[in-house]
Amino acid sequence: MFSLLKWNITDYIKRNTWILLGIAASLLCAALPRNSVGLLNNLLIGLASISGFIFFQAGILTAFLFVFRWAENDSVELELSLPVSSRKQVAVKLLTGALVNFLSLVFLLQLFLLIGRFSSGSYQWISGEHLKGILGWVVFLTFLESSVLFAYIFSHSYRMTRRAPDLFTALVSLVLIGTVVVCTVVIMAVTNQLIAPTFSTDSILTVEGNLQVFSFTLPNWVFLSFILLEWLVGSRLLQNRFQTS
Amino acid sequence: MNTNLNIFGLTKSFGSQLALDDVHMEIQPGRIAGLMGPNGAGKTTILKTIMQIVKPDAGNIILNGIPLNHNSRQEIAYLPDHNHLFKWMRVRDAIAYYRDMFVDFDSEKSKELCDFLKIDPQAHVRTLPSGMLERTLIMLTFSRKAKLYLLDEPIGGIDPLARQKILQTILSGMNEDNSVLLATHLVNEVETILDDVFFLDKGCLLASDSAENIREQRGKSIMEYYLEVFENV
Amino acid sequence: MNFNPTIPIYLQIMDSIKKDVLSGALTAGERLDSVRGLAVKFGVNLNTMQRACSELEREGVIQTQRGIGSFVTQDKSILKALEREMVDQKVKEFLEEMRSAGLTDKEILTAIEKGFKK
Repeated sequence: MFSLLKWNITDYIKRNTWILLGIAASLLCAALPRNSVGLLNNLLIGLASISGFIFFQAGILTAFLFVFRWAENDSVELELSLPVSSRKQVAVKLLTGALVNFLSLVFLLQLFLLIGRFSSGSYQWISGEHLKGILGWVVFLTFLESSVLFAYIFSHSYRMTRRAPDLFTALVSLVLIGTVVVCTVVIMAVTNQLIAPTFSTDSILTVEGNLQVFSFTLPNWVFLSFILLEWLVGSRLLQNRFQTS
Repeated sequence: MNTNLNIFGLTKSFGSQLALDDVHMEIQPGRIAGLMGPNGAGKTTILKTIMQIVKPDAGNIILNGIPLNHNSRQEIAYLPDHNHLFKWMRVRDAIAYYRDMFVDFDSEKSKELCDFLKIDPQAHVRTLPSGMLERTLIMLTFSRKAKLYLLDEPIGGIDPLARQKILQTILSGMNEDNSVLLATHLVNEVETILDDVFFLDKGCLLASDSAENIREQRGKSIMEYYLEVFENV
Repeated sequence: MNFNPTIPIYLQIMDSIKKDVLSGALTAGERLDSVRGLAVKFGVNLNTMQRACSELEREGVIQTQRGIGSFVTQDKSILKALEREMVDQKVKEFLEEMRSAGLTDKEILTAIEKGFKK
């Protein structure tokens, strides 16, 4: 399991080296200026914020593609011929995706903190409080990825859906994600837990527990249990029915 | 335990197209079996079904007395008919990957085979010419001490020297306990290394016999027998 | 080695090894390669090679000592018989070919004499 994870992470890195380079470059651009005076400094700060946003999105997007598009590559025959249970196969894809999401979020937060030091005057280190806010996001993003992977496996598992796998992947994931999110919101509204998000002004990503959807409460447990469910059913389908050709 | 691989009534269709129709096969340990037929006969589908990459509609596959499960893959070394390695890999990455993933991978053997097959471990898999790629894949496959080797067109579209080296690698990888199922349409080239042959056309098994029987009893070469069988379809 | 694919391959291997013994490429008492090594050398599978070796052993051309290997026989009478067998066979083949080309026995004899003079 560990070496499978290692090789999946290696695979992600080798395919997406440009993102890692971009992330490093953005952080460097944000860290270099001593203050926000002068053209060069402002240019660097501007560059850092623009590229930071691009690479953050690229990180999330590539994690997404990595999780469900692996079965479209020629290497699928190698991966599916490994003596590994389908549960491990699926778990490792999701873990890799979650890890990339987590790192993308940490990167964005770090970038904000670096740039934020020019307006607040003092540099703030990443704290446990920040990371707690991130965890909720990771769960949510991983839930999205898990749903799409499940939909992908599902649509390649039945004679009918195999005829238009892309269409059914899109449909099933939309229905899944839509239902889960709507149900969660309804449950929260009914139980009076839904409070409109209010952003705190000093740092963008910590939301003071108000944005309930992304803090570790009811919705996160719902998302987590759906990840678990999709993982169990998805790996069963992968073992017994899944087929790409 | 005197059969390595048993296939009973294997049937598979893709959509409305019948790919395999009630195929029965048996391979004894220590033998090299050739699975022969034109392109599209269903050879690759059989190998992929044994690898559980394709799921059969009906039929059973028994490996060393046990119905297939994901652990069976531990005992099977599979060489697909195209490059299945990650595109970013160098040969040495592929070796490291195999070593990590397969407990039966023998690093010493892989070194020996790299020497014998004149493979450069630093080379990028993506840029290898087809002869070198096949050499690399055969090196990876036979560095494993598997019970069953599934080889899909291992000598297709490559030069005679690479072909000879690959056949020699297969021969020296054999012992009394393991067996090889080699799918190819190049009947002539593998004539002397086969123990058994299976002729497959449009998903149906047309004939199967031992190579020695074909020569001794029928007085024919495998090629002649192949032509005779396929002529009368 | 190039085989005739219509003749059982183990027979062709036996012939080839016998020829090597007669020509001296393999000397009496010499140790043979392992069955696996020979199989790779001849480009045939283990079972074919095994069969060729056991047939050769049955005929006494080679002798196998468990755990040590196979050796070319040192028995002069077997080697002599091998030579005779080979000569007989070659002559038979030659005669058959000539006769099927339409030559009479007398013509064949003259042709051989001519051949010697050249």
